Amino acid sequence: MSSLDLNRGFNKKEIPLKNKIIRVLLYIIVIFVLINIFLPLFFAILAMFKDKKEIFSAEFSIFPINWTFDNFSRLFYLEYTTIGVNYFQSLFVTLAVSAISMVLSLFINSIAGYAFARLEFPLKRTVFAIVISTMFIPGITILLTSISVVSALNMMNTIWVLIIPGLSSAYNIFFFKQFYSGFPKDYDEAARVDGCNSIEIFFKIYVPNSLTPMVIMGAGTFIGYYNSYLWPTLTIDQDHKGLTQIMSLIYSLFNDQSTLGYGAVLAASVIALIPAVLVFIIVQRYIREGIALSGVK
Amino acid sequence: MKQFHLLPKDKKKEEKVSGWILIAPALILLIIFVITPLIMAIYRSFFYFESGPNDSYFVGFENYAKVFQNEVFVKSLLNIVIMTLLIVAFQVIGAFLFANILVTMKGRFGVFARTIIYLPYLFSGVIVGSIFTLLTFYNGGVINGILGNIGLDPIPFTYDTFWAYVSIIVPTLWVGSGYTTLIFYSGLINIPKDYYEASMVDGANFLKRTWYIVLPQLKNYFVLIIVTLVTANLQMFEIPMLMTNGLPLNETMTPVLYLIHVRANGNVSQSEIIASSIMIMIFIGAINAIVFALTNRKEKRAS
Amino acid sequence: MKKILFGVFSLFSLCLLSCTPPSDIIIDDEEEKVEEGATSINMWMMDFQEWENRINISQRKKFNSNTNDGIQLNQNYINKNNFDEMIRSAYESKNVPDIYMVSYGNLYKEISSGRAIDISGLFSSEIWNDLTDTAKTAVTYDGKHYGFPINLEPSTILAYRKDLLKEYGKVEEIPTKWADFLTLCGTMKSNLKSANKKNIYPFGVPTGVACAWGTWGLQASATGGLAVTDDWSTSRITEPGYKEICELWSTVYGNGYVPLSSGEYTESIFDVCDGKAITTMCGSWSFASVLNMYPELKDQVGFIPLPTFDGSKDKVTATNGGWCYVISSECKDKAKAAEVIKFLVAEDTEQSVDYFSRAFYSKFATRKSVQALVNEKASKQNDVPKQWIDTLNDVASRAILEPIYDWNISVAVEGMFEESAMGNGIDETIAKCDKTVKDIISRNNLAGTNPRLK
Repeated sequence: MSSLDLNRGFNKKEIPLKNKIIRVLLYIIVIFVLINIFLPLFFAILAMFKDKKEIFSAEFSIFPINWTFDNFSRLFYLEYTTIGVNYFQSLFVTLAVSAISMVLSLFINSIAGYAFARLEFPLKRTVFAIVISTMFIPGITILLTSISVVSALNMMNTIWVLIIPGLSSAYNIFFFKQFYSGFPKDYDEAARVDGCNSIEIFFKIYVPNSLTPMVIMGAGTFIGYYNSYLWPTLTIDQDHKGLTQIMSLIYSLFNDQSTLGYGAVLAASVIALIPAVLVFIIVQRYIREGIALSGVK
Repeated sequence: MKQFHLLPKDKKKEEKVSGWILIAPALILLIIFVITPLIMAIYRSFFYFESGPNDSYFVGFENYAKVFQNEVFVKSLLNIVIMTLLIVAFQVIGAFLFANILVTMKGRFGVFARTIIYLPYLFSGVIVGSIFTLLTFYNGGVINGILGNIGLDPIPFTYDTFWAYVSIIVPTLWVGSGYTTLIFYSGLINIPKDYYEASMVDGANFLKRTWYIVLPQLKNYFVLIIVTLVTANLQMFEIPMLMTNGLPLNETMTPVLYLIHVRANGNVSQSEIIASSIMIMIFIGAINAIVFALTNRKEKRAS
Repeated sequence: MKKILFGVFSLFSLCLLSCTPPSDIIIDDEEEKVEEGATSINMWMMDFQEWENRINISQRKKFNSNTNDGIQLNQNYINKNNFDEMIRSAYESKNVPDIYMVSYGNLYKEISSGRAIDISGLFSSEIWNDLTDTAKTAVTYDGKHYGFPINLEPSTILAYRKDLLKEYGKVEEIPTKWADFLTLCGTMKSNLKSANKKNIYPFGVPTGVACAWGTWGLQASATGGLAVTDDWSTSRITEPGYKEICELWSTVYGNGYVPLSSGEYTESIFDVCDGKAITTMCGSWSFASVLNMYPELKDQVGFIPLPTFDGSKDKVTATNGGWCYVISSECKDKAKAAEVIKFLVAEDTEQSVDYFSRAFYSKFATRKSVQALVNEKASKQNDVPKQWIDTLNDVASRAILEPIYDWNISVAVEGMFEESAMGNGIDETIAKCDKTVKDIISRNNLAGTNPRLK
């Protein structure tokens, strides 16, 4: 548990809390907060097992009266309804899109971050300022014209429209720049003596030592792609159901409750949370270090 | 890595070339997919057009003038400012206090608590919205179901402005607060312990310690968190879209939701939507500038 | 923690493995034929309730079963909340459907933006003359026909549960006057309260956006017109009828006769079916919703026209909503697109009769020839209670067309009703709404521009 190392700063000694009542009180507060984190999920998971008519019925009970797996099986047969999308295929495609994007995005942004941090080249400051300023352009401002751009590039309804437009991210570049700026310079010099140029130095020395930022940024990019709703909805039409992204699918289920009921929406939502939870399990060892890197200082 | 041996041997010359090679992919993508659409959007905002076969024609600033005549859009800007203020205030204060509690927790429980609190941060707004709708549904939802079973009146989540705000703010806090807490936590444990010990010797209590030592030390954390939260929350639409969809009476309409929510903006022309979305950009820029200005002034006072 | 997560995960997998198809998913194994080298015609359909989509899909399959016509028909079912945004981005990405569905209320918007084209010449004059007057008016602007009407659906009738009405209202008939109806609601409310049934409501009204279009019929019945005068020159909000509706809204909300917030109006009938509401306002499509999803309640649910303020039975109580097919400006082969429309609605009578009977006569035919056949078929069948069909015919015969004035006007009226519902002063909200409507008229120079009067 090195990432959650508590032996830094004052924590080794902890704040001396002599008052036991306050101590107990604080524990109660923490437990209360933790319960509240799980409570909505708890209710959602219980309601998934409720019958279609029971879920919003006039007679409320927390636990299902008739336990049923119908809501899950509805997901299996989703492609036979008008929605016509295979839920699990959609989940898989979304995961694949997110994974490919994550790899490409890490590559593109880390090399740019490295160049901005370590190399001297003409117009560097101007370009960096332009890159950073794109961080403040809201997605909605360029939504419609972006569709013109991707359709001019013949990317509509392909997997590329989901992947490429979001790859380059000013935030990620900034993050990598911060990380590489704090990297010890001694190794560079040694490598230079061996005859390496800056690109080789990056791949031989910087990449192997940037596990934490790679995990943190990779997870962020992955989750960002996985959770996106508006862009995939507008760029993938219904003739290309194989590419339907999971959040668009869940929203159409949400809008179409009369057919499959709210239980199916919840089942779809909760299953779609599993990848996020897995990412969480991978990331939690690095998150603290990641926060320390995120340019706060 | 033979392919790179074509680069110049001289260090300075080589850096010039490889620097550009390395930033090229990111820069080209940004130019194609962010800067070009932005320029197109600005250009188009001076023309009248509606998606369709008809030609557009130049109207100057007319689209922008219409934006301010659109009561719903102006109202949505006001709503989002109130929502953002509330969310940021609750989240920053709550997360800071909770981080202070967490630093006193030791052992496995502390580790568990610190780990688990940021789980919801990874959840999509669509999913969070659909899960919370189950809780807030008026007739048959979990909260009103429980209230009904113990004999209380149901809460009208999409009928009463106050409760509509609650039903948007609570899920938003649920998603984001854990991560903010973690950032504060990491700031708190990085405060050099000498500072603390000195204050302990002086017998300073929690409030004094926080005011004189912790807050100045964590100033950068506050700025970063506030700027990020403000920028993100001004653009929020997924949770409002699923929770209230603008009800009641557009009291919880947010600007982005308004622009993508067609049944609300049915008669608004495409060019006006683009002009409105540029106004959102200016609006976010202005609010961020205010936040920076305020925090910088604080900095001067503190030093 | 990992162990727990692993446990949860494996539990999930177990659940998933134990699945069998639930009863509400019908696996349609009818094969769809693909014609090689045919022109493909793309249609965008509204994603309605599942039963209605199924009718449309089976019609498409029937069309495609003819592999010699040189046309392959594709359909996309678009969510109603995304439809306009999708059409706009379709034009942006040059990926426009050949035919799409538009409601009569939105048709004029499609025409003025140039997206829907004049299709008068694509169909023979016999076909146009076969249309009923209402349907023809709905798609005709300036003497040209811009869409082919599919159906007409009265958007406001009153549904009720007979058993619950008897149990809690102690009556069998719904009064025809709003004042009496409110008294009945009061009786039901107090009986429900004494039976400790807090989650059952006596009544249901449209909320949110649906309140803007779902109350047009009520407005017409109360005021003899809609929010603006026919020539769009000034507001009619100060008509006494509007005050009556505001008071009605304030009463039903203030006394807890309706839930303070509810789901989609188009699905309000399910509240009645689920026993969460005793009566509700709903659209005529609810017949088919009941018969498709709650067939066991066929004899327990009744439909009647909406009450009126003076109790008279010959007032307009609904608008005739409905849908038409339009051909988009980007359609490459207009003649072939017209062939598709001819098959689906315009020429093939059998196909249309089949459509209306499978929709359980919850819609009104738009062609005289079809209407005659449908009426004949309806009188011979036992699937749909006679009371329902009588109600539909009665309401539809008096219903007016959906207005096409600026949507923001309807939204302003909705705001007025909902503010009254929240207990704000009725006179102030009326004055405010009146001002808003007048502002919209003057700002957009609407006076005298009603295209239906030209």
